[in-house]
Amino acid sequence: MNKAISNALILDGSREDDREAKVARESILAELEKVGIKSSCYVLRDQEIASCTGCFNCWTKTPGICAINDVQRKIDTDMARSDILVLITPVTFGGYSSTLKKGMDRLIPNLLPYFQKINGETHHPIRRGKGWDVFGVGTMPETDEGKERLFQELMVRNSINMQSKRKASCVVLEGTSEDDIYNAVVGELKKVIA
Amino acid sequence: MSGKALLLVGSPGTKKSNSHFIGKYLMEKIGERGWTVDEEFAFHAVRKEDDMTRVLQKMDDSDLVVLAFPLYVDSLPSQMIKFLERVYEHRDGKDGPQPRLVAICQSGFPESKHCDYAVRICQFFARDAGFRWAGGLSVGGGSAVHGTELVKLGGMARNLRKALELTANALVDGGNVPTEAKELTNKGVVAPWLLRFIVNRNWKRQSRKNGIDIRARPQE
Repeated sequence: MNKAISNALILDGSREDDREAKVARESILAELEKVGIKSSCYVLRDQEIASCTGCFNCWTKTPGICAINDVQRKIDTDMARSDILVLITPVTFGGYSSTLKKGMDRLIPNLLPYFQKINGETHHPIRRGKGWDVFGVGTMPETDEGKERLFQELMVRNSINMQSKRKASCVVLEGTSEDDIYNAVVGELKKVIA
Repeated sequence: MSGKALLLVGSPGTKKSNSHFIGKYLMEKIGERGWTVDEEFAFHAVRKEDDMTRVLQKMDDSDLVVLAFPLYVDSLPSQMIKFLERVYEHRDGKDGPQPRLVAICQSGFPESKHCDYAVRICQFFARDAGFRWAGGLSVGGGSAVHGTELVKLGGMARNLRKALELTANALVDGGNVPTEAKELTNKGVVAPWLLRFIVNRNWKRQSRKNGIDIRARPQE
């Protein structure tokens, strides 16, 4: 196990009937536990989370703390204490579901408002000074090369914003057996945590 | 030829947002060519069922739908995605006219590239929800718009205004977002080094004014 990773934050933005996402989440939790990484896991559809209002109070009035007092404050704290961010979502028009995105949009208290040039592009610096490795799982009803490619590219973009050292992602199709989901998901996860 | 165009703003800032001012300028130019133009706000629509029903009807009745939204974490804001999910549910499997769809994504970052992925998401949405994709614009340096009418921004927004004018004319004439317009928005509103300098100075000033430590780490 990579000793630099001791805590993981898992955000699951799937629907209740998404069997593949559930199997993926349970596989990830089992593997993380096996290698001694502590997990904070949020199934976002079960949480009352308001959407980001773009007020920027988390930057200008209460640095690092969202103005909205709901469970997302706890998620933001868990994020600040995590080494790896795990995202689970139905691939939605090639991107993330609104359920996952609601949690992601409100992670910005963990960033600083300043603009910083990283590899020729402007990004926000990380508040704690250290980034997160990123692992993503997308579920799809059927194969769609274009959407799959966009999902994977979006994960790469996120990893640049999160200043990740390591990143990986995979797409699981509806009807995939539990064993195959486990093997695919854990195989990719190991690229980040091994 | 005349038609109906609908602007859908996907920013929580609604009327005062940079996305609204950019979209509004495009709609004014389309209106000047004799089209009927209208606007709605996705953040309001997803909260009230009556509003959503009205907006869905307007979308179905439009010849052209323009999505204008800010970039949130490399993608569309969650409420805008929720809105698109609702539109998809409404239109899935239905026959009928296919309005054209355009997406304009603006980011506070000076480089337009950040927005390209969100625009591609809108392209897949168009395909899935029965719209005809007419192209998208990625706008860098949207923070420089600063909640202001584009005409009041003078030379700074010259390229952006020109891009929107070219886009309006092409759309009214039945075409797609022109390559020249995309190239103009790709130039950004302000030079990246200058925008970084201005933005960082403004945050420092605001930090001093509010008496806060902007780099505080409350979770540690």
